[in-house]
Amino acid sequence: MWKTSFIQFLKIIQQNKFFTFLNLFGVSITIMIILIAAIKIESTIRPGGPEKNNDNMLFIKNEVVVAEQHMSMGGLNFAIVEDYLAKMKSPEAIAFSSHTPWSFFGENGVEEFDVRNVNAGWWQVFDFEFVEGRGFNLKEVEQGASLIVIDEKVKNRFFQEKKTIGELIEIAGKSYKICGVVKEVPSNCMQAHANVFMPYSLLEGQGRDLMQPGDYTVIFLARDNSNKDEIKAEAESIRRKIEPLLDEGFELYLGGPDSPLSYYLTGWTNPHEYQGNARELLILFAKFLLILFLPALNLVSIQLIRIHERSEEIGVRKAFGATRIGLIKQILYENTLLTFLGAVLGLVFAIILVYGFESALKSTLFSDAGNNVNIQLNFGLFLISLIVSLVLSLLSGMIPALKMSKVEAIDVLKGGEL
Amino acid sequence: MIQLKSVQKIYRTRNIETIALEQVDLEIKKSEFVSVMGPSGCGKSTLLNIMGLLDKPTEGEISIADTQILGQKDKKLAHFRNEKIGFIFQRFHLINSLNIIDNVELPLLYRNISSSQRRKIAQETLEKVGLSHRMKHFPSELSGGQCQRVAIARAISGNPDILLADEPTGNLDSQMGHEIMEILHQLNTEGKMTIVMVTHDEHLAKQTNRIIRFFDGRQVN
Ligand SMILES: Nc1ncnc2c1ncn2[C@@H]1O[C@H](COP(=O)(O)OP(=O)(O)OP(=O)(O)O)[C@@H](O)[C@H]1O
Ligand SMILES: [Mg+2]
Repeated sequence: MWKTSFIQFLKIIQQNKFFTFLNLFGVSITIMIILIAAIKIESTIRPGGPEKNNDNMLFIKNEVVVAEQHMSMGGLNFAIVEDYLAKMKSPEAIAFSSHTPWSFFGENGVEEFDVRNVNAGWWQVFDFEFVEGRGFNLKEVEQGASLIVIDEKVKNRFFQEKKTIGELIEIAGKSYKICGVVKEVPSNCMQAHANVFMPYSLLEGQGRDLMQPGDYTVIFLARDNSNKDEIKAEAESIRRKIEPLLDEGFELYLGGPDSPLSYYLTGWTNPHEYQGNARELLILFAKFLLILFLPALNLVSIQLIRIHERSEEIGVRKAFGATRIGLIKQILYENTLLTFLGAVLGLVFAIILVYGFESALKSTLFSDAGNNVNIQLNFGLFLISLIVSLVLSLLSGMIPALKMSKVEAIDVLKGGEL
Repeated sequence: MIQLKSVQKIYRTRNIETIALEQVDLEIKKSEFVSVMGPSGCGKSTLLNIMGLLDKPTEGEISIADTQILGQKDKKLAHFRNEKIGFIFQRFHLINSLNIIDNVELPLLYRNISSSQRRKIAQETLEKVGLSHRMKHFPSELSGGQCQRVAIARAISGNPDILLADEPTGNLDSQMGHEIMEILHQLNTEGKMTIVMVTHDEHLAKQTNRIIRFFDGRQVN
């Protein structure tokens, strides 16, 4: 029975090439776009590199100081980080950093490098791959040792093949001793990425005025999920402790601690509108459904047009023994197979794009620093998209199928036109 | 084979009632070749559609092959049509997107028959109507007479007891009409098929066992 239906299906799609093309095109392009868009999202949520364990990381990237007529937003204030958050007890490890560019004026003109001022916990929280040497430890940071960790890009630029550990490097007029060299960090590792890492204690005159947001980010490493709750609770108790220290009438909001996923979903939210991640997830899911719904809708409209075209066929089939249920089944089966084919085709397109045109795709998705990013197709997402589009095509196929099955054989066969 | 008792068919549209058939009592015996005649609009097609279970009478009883048809479910009716009845239409009604052999296989699709067996039966049937050399062609590539022969092959490939033909030669010239009649006669005499044929051609009707005449929805004799 299935074999018969399948052979019929092949005949039908061959005979209606334009319709087949429209359907396949709609489904496959949609699935391809979803898969490619997912690459972009995933590279933000799961960037790999030193952030490959980011499932266990919680971030606070920003704060808001707010009163009725006043609001300042920014990164975390230095005093909040050093005096409070960095002293939290619940996390396994705590990293924090601020970020500054370093413009190097050399014989090639201006070259830009990223510099991070970090604490000793930085090397525990993130999973850096050291090519040579090591990171700086707590004691060295506290003493304000002029140590520095560079990446291979900086090493290749200034030292080539030479030994680098113990060498001095000059940045913005100051000399630092190199204690370690790490592999270049993929540019989509937004938190860990930099070319140069130095102790935060080397920075002078950092703002301690609690009324002014600063430019720090804190990353907590959690042991497990229940530990994450403890960390969130402890951060909240710290927030309550700091709030009374602000000027009269001011409130303090911390953007986190949150997972990379919820950060991605909420973005830079206004604390007054911040309602957790459930709603955002729902919105994302709705968008996902909407995108998949488009080819389904496309299918309905094309099918409805085709009812007229196929009504003679339906009438004849009925006259020769097709049942209503049988016709509905046949049409749904045709729809489903076509959608399945389209989805697989979409996957094939995505695979060709990702593995055949990797660098072009990367530079499109990630503009400048693309070639430094690892990209991979999410086959789990493909399965979900496939299932959702199959369900949608079944649902949307019901309308034309029911309508078609209602075509009365006599109306068609009597000799009159419909 | 076919029995109609006090069959009435009324078409009701918004404000007009058309009585297409009135008090029709009719019996057609097994292996009979009957032609139905009458002026346009007298209810011939309606009669055939009711006999073919494509349409339901407003009132009355029908039995086909000793089975009461009234009140049967769609599935049962479809099954019955598939097994017992073959249709031939004035306008052929071949499925244009399928080639000839696929068209002929159509009634077999709704039975439990393997695809190779279907193909075999369809080929044999096409040979009977002299079109086995056109199997892979599409309906649009055939002449009217050839199309009607394909339609006959489709109607008989499932080996039904009854063949219902609504003006099978209406769209053909007389030469082709005669060819079609020859095939029908052969099916009737050799295949013992019961045939009911609607026609406007007195000459063709005279070649059949019996002529039933209709006027304004009533049988006249
Ligand atoms: N669906 C319908 N709705 C309303 N009236 C209808 C319908 N079908 C047929 N009729 C009417 O029923 C009557 C019989 O129609 P039928 O098609 O059976 O005639 P016929 O004898 O086959 O005519 P012809 O020789 O022209 O094919 C006609 O008056 C026709 O107008
Ligand atoms: Mg008629």
